Amino acid sequence: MSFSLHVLTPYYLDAGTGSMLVQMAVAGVAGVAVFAKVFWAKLTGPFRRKPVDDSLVTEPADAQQPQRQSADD
Amino acid sequence: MGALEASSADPASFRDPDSSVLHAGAEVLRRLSPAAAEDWKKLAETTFFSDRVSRGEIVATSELTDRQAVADEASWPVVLKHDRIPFISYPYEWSFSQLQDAGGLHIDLLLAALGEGMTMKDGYAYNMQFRGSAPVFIDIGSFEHYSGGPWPGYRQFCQTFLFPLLLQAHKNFSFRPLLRGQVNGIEPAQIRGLMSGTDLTRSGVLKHVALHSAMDSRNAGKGDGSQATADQLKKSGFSDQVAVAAAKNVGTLVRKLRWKPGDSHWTTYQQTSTYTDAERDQKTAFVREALSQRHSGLLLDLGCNDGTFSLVGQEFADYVVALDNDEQTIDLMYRRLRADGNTKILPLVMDLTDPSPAIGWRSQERPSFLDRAKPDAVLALALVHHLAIGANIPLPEVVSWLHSLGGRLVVEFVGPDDPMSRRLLSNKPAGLFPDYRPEVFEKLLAERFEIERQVTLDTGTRTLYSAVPRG
Repeated sequence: MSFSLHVLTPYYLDAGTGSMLVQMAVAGVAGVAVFAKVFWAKLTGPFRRKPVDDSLVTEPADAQQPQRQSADD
Repeated sequence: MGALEASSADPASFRDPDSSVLHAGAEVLRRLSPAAAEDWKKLAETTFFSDRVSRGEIVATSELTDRQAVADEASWPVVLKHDRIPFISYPYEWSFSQLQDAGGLHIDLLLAALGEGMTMKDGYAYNMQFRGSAPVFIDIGSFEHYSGGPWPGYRQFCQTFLFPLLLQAHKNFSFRPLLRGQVNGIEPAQIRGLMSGTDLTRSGVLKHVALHSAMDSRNAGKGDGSQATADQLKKSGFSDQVAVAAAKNVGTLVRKLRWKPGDSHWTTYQQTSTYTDAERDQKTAFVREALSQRHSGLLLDLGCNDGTFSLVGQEFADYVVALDNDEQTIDLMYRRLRADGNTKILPLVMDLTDPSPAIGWRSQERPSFLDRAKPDAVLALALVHHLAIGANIPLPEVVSWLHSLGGRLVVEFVGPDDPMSRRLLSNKPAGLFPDYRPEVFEKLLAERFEIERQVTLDTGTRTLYSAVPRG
């Protein structure tokens, strides 16, 4: 199974969330391992530590700084 | 003025911002963004691409080297030139076997692309065209580098190929009105509503329809969207092997579906019609003589039945578009032409009293049939009585419409005493068509056409005319 770290090429059309997910079943046996991983991620998701989102961090009010809009600003 | 400056954008080519089609005179061009240009370079190096182009399964494409005409080279670093498809047709004009073969080839090409590290952005039935009876893929801009995850075109493929085929194979329900009514095809929830509980046991229905529709409604408006879902699937191991397994499943299903409608009146027409062999020979000789007067670019065979006269006509034209209202007849004709490898005759299902309208965005995306059809010659054999008696279209209207098509005309008038006319008249109140007479038709024809030649067949109830439109 090949993995790469970069994200997918963005799609120009809305491929449909349900239509993406059902392809695990369409793939038959080959899709079982993917389904198990997705299912496991959903099951354990609530207990996993979420990464801190930098964009939500605000400076103290007394610092008189404008609120940051995104990590890249 | 350069080629692109003189060009016009194809009204159907707006969805993908990285690739758009332009028409410059008779040439079909495609401009590619920097990202799409990278994909094109990769595609051009694959073995499947050149192989499939040489087999006629992908439209022949070359890179335009004369770039002085292209103003915006930074935005569109590559411009491609495609071979012209002789006549553009749409899925709602195809028979079951035509849609099936086009869908099967689309999936074959996806599998071939996945085998060389590429995929397709979409799975739209409008990516396919026909050259005669041979399906051909035209959307070169759809090929892109595969970076893992599920196929983004699966939903479109279901909506415009698989669901229409399932409906017709399992429910004997024609897909054509639905595809004509919705340019994006049949939604998962729509087809789910048409399938009963017992249909779940039929090929493809459980996964592609029931599960697909359930996943669709369960996830509608929830989560982070389809792009994030695709990313998550990729991270969970949805690799090229899984994508290949899914595509193979879809391809196998598409190819194994069968439509079994039983015999129609028209599929057995040649056996049950009232023609004698001598009349058929007389008619063939007249058509041959009339069409041989001048070679045509496009010949329209209106009401072609099994295509007997399309086969005669192809000798005198570059391309023949053969139309009939009976899908079974067209399906049979298509399969015969395909078995013969015919690339000159395109059979289409068309009700001439209700031809394809323009559909899609601004009603310009997919032009109407009459806007696409500019014939040099027209065959209208054993057709007028169906329009005038069967569909109540006034005779002057019929002749005016034939004139509006603009080509040389070979037309047959089946008189009111002919057994076929009598059969149609028996379904209508007596005296409804007092003007349906040979002399009235001939007078109307002479007003709009110059009649070059005419022959009354031996039985005396049918007359053939060869005519050239006036002004």
